[in-house]
Amino acid sequence: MDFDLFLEEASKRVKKKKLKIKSVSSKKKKELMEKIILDDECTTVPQTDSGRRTYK
Amino acid sequence: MSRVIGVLSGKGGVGKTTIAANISASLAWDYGNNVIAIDANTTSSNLGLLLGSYRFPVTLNDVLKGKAEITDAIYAHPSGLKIIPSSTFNEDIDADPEKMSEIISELDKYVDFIILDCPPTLSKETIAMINAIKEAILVTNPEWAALLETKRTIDYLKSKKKKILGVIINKADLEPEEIEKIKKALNVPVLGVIPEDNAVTKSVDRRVPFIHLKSKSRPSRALKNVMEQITGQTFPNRSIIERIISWFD
Repeated sequence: MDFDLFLEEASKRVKKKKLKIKSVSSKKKKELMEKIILDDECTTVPQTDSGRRTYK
Repeated sequence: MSRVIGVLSGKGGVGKTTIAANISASLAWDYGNNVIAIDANTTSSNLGLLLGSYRFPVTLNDVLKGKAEITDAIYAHPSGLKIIPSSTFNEDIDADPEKMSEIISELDKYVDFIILDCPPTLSKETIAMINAIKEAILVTNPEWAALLETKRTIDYLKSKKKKILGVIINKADLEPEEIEKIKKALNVPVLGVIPEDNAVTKSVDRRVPFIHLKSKSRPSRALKNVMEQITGQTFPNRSIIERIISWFD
């Protein structure tokens, strides 16, 4: 196990996003869901070098 | 309508999250399905870490607490998989798991598979997750405590009329007669036996599912057989030689 990486990860602060619930129509919600799930319009999970090499 | 599969274990530490991450990534990358993997362990979450990152700005906990929309908590993995991680912040442990069924029905029509990495034991949180799933896979080790708790979870799933796909015996090297005994005692199919191997340790360390990082290793060969049983389809691009080798593992 890479203990340096463990220490870095355990002490890392990730800024939590300020959230607001917006009421949107079911049509808009469906469009948003399709964009995110089917068209990949969402944030990508950061990868290690091994992860980037594996899924290139 | 998607297949909603919960990955469960009667006892913690048996490798459930590792198996859930590998099954999810394989369904997406190898089989080309639309898959969402949900870290349903809202108090001790690790799925995100195994797939690349420990902390996320918006998580399932925020959605369960009514602070965010589900669309805010979905992330893309390079395998094609989508992930909904749980929080690793202590201030988020009071999320209400009862809303899980509602979230699943929102996602249901957009994907082929929803995989839930459930919490261990039959806690209130686990029971809420069981209510949300349609099918279950159990992960266990070949040890008394783990097997007895697995049996208890199976009985609970049966009482709730959930479809049990079978049991994966993880971190084990077993003789065929030992597998048969476990199968008889648990009274559900044994989907596979995943051996303890350095490939798994390395993959956890590098945050890449072993089925892709070390695709020809013994655990990967065993998991590919499991994937064929889950999907009912042969594992894509698997050579005949590898298939023959896996018969002798």
